Amino acid sequence: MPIEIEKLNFIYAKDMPFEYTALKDIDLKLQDNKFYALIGKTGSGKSTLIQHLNALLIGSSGKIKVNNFEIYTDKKNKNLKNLRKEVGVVFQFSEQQLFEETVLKDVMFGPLNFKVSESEAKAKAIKYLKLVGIDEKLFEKSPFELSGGQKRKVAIAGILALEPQILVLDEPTAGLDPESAKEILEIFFSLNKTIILVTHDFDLVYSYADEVIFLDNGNLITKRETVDFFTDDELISKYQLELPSLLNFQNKLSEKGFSFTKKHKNLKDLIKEVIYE
Amino acid sequence: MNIIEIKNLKFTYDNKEVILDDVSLEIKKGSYTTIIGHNGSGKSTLARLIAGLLDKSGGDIWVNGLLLKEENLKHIRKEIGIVFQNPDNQFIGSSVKDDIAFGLENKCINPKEMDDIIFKYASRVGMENFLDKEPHLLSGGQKQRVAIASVLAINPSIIIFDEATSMLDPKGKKEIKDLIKNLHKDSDKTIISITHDIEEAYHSDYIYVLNKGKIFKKGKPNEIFNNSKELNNIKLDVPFNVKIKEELEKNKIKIESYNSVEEIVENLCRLKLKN
Repeated sequence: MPIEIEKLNFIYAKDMPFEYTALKDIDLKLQDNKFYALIGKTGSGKSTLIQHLNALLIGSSGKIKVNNFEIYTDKKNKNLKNLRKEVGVVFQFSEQQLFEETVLKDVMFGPLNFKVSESEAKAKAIKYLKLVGIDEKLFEKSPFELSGGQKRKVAIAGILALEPQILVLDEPTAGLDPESAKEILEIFFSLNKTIILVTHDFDLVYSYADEVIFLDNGNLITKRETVDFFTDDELISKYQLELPSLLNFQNKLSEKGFSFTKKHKNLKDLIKEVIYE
Repeated sequence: MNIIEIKNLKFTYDNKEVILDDVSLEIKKGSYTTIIGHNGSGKSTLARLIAGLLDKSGGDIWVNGLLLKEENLKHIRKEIGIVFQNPDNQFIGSSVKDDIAFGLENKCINPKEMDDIIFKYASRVGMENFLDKEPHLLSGGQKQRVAIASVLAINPSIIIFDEATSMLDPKGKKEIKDLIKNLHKDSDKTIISITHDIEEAYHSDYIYVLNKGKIFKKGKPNEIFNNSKELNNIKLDVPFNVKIKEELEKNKIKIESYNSVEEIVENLCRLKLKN
């Protein structure tokens, strides 16, 4: 399910006093089964952009194609439901969207809406609740009785149960303890789907993402391979981006005369090269 | 002198689920204490109990020498200000000025003095040029700064930050963390920060680690973060510099000091020269 975006513009409150162009001529092509990190300051257009991917927002002009499904900006769109089954969006603080009587029912809600049978929906709910690490004992509890981290996992299971090919994640680990955050990311990483992760955490981007999509003030500044992105000194200093801890460490070592064969994506390999160079 | 003393504190929901179990701790006056622990470890409950926002199930809490009970509650609440996690849930006024004024009005401050007080505390958090701005025009970090100004205006001796930075972007996080550091440096206020931010904890005076409602470990940052396995077991992480130190140790390399990445790099240079 490749995604193709051409000349996408989005204007909030068009023809109103507070008119504001949130996305400007965005051109973007995303491939299947890659892990993309979408980064940029608050207000740069990240959330606006991802809402276009399953047509929650429709652009003011431009073209979006998700696989063979085209989202029109100039005429009424039909069958958006098919698109939304393929593009699952996990919003920020997704736990706030839980509403059902029990954890299990909450996760079943999505599949049932897509006309899956009761028994199949249940099977899917159980499968994905287990995958995100929710204990069977909690299935019949009210989602409101769970801890913050557990709630988040239930909300994520709810999206996974739709089995979308493209997963869009808006800060899925914000506010979680480091270990829960890592668990959740490892799950996403293992899924073999196209992933678009909106995050401010550059350490996480550096170790997980294949490519970085960088927005600033509604403009797409660049989309490129992760190490390439963070080693573009000019870009990094122009936009005052902070370096990932690991890269920062490696750079400081390089400055002091240590040499490396490549930029390492984990500490273990980096230390090995420092010691056994 | 301890400004907060807690002995055998217990808290249960509906007499069933134990959230805090026999927690005892002391917090020194004027110190910057962080409380860390995974989601559901009881951190936020502890903060709410100290401020008298929840009723304990057992044990005792003393704030500034006063036992926390119904008749002392009014006094104790004057000593404590809390900044909560969600910037949108604690903005009450229709402008920055109104928001800071709210607490002052409740304290029956003379309206003539109010403008000066508001300006003073708005300046303290760098929001003096935003006094007439409405909340929706502010960033998350700015809203949290206003929340801090509102708390400062009441002049409590203790300020509790309950994950006050976790919903902010990196810029907002840094703003608030710097502000907390400065407050600690320039005032005699006691600061308690409940946080997931390991780097923040690393730079505080003293750390309590909570796990499953109990105090798992307490001590100065270097004492807390000297064993990542132990912390990983209770779903916590260690700062990046400690990770480097441990990875080096795995490879049989010991370095003397590791307070920052720079220090580690220098240590490694020295080792390299020796070989």
